[in-house]
Amino acid sequence: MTRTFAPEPVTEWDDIQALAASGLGALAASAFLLLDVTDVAAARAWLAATRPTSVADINAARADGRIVSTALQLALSAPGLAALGLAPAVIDQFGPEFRQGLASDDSRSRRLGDIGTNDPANWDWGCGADVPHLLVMLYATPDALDAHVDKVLATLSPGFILRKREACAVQNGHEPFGFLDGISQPVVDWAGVREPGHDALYTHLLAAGEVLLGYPNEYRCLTDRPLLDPVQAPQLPRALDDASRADLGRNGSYLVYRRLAQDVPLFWQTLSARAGGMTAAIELAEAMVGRGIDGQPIPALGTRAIPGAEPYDLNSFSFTGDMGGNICPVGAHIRRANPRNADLPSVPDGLLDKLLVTLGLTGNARDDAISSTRFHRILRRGRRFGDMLSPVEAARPGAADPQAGLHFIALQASISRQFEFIQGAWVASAKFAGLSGESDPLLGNRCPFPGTMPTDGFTRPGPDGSIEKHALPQFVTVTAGGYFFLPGLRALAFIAALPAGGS
Amino acid sequence: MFAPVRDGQIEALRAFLAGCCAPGAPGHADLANPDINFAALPMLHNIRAFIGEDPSLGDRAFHPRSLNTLFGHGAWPVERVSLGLLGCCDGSVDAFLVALAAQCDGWLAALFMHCEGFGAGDDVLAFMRGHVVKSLASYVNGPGRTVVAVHENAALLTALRAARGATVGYDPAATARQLAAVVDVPLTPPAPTTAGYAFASLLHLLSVPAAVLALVSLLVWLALRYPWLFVLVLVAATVKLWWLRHIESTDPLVVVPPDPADIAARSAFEDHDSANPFTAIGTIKPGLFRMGLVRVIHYVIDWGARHLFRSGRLGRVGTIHFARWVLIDGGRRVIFTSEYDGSAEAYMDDFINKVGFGLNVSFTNGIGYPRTRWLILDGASDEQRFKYFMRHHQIVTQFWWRAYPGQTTFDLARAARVRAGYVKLCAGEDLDELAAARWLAEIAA
Repeated sequence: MTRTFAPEPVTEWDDIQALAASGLGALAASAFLLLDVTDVAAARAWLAATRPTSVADINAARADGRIVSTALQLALSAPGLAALGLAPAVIDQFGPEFRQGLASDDSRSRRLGDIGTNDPANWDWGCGADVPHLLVMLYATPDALDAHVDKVLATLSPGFILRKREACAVQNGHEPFGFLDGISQPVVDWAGVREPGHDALYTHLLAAGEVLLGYPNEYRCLTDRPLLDPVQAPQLPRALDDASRADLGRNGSYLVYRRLAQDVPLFWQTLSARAGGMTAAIELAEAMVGRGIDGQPIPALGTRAIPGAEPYDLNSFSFTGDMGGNICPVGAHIRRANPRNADLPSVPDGLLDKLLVTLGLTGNARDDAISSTRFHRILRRGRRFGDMLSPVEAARPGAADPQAGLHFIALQASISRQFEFIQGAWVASAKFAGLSGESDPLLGNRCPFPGTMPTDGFTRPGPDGSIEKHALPQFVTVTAGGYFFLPGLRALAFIAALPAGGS
Repeated sequence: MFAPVRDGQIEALRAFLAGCCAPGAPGHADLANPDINFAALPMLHNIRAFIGEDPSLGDRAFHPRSLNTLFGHGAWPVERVSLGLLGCCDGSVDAFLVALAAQCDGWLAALFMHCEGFGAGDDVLAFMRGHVVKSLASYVNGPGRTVVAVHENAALLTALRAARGATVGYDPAATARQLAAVVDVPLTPPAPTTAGYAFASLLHLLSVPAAVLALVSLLVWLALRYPWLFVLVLVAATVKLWWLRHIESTDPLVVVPPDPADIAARSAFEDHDSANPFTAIGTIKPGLFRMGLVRVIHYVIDWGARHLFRSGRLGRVGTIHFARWVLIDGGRRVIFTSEYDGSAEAYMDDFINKVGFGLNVSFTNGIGYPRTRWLILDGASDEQRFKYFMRHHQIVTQFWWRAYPGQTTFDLARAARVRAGYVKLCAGEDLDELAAARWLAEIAA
């Protein structure tokens, strides 16, 4: 019998980096440092002396009625782990996608839509083996950021060399095109109260094991991760699924970073020319996104109680009453990024119906094209960069490009089943949910696929069944990226304390 | 068809197949190569060639032939590596082979030169006929949707789209009528079903219910006439079920996490089209029990695929164009092939989440499969082990061609619906307002 595990409450908050539990929204300013190891011993000493902010730190401050004014989060790439001396046999137990990296392989790039102008060969960093060893994310209140960054920078030598400093804008909740961002997030079941798999309806609740390694996931299984001989790693917790092994992954997460450059003037100028005026341009943009610019769901979708979105918020809706996309286009960004489907296409009415639905003998292919979104959720922790330009300003001919965009950051336990699936099978796919010739209206690369078939379409059905079809230019370009491991604090201490000459 | 590869010819065969592929798209037929003009075969949906090198053959060491069986003692035989050539066609297999031999004689001869028993000047048709293997089970997404119809539907859709702009009007029914009137695309009427085929199909449909009925009747008769024998049968059945649960929970598991380099090598062949071919090979667990089980289970799968799942979905999975199970090596190994839309990871996820029970009942008979309960439970829901299993057994499809690149099952079904509306309108029938609006929307989409 398959070994399955009951949900496990997460309690080791002092071992979990703060980003897993929150986007650190109270610290609106941030900067990301990309580092390479230059001196292994010094780098390890630096790691040993650097303690990332944990969830417990944030919670303790909150309990005292204050907030922490600065935070540091730390993630390592596979080349980074190797540079720090983690044995190949240990690294080999990480997920294959993490070991391969985001941009080491043409096939992966093809699948993720990183072709054309998105081609990693054009990236600022992250192409092929050119993956920085460390990603240090620094957060602070706006007045405290510079001092925080300077303080960290002063300690890097001789262990590290600063490869790149990524600046972030002071966050205001909106992404550069102007839309309220970061609304739809899974609600992690930290308390371990939900039995995955028993939801007849779409839920925002997500097993902790979909975000953190070492906990049961939505399949009630544990995602593979490095398990070590406890004699060599006495400080690490034991694995939940194998008490004889020390768990290097426990309380850690995979972090996907992609820098997305957004052409704000092109976006609003194109839409305003297409739609004939700003009001209609905003309407078209809202249809492309699938929400109001203020984040409001399309009212005609109605509201429904969704576990995790309580009592009623911007996520209290689903698409079950709109499978044809007459209210919210099927190809809209929020439908591609999160189709909000349960495991079955309809709520079974009794046992016989459940059997028929399960066997696929009722319903139709279109309404069941996408299913079980619970296996494909990510925690988004992105940050905006560049200046904001209002839609009206951006739509003016000759508007200066503010060079804005998004540091897309996602946390998950399986890069292939979560980020890569969402990006490849949903966002970038020209054939998402039975559509044809379209990719994500915001993120699509518009490269023909396959052969010469266009992918730049966007169909916007009207409520009367009529169809409006648009051809869109590329608005967003990927300019850097990488796969990282956001370790638990004990795992980080273990890496920092590796014996010289290997683990 | 399967034909053993000559000793020492595997690398040459691999190079030959690679040479037939398009630059930049490994595994995908080079359309510029005049020797492989499959487009001239109007009945051919797709064709693949692969070298049946079994990466999982070593797993047999975990499963000696004496295990779990009273019969079949002895060492596993050494298996030959075969060339697999597999096409999905309309009409009869032999008519296809004749057309294929006529069209691609030179290419086939060059291909078969790598196989045992084929020499210069030999007849390719006779060689193919001599190596044809029957399927254990198969599934077709659009039964009756011929290649000719697919091409006609696509041409019709293009013509309707082009003409759509010229029609005006807010009344969908009138617009639809007007549109159908200005577009004239010749359509081949579907071939009538022959009485013989219809009769055979009916017999096939009745076979499973008849077998169930016969079994139940036999049991009832036994219970009434010879109660002691009935009890004996019940006891035997209980023992057999206990035995099944016993082997299910003790059969060796084979867990081989994939090597990133290996995944990368395989991925190079994938995602160049909206659909991908999947080819996998594996050894069936030894013993008479599994041997019988495999045949019964796949008969039922074949029966369900033919009679129950006729509306474009196998179970709940709508992205499979074709699927096929074939026994080779006298039933020791099975080859599974399919053609599916999307990437391998999405395909496996769809499998696990929608038809895990179906996979379990089929693949649980394969060495190393994640543990099942009662043949249908668990198994694939051990997501990572299942994906490892699939990747472990997958073999590269070295050569693949399909008649309609870029078309998903959804595209094909949409075009077929548009055609059905067009045929109705041309016959002078009217579509009601809703149907007309839907028809127009599908043309615009």
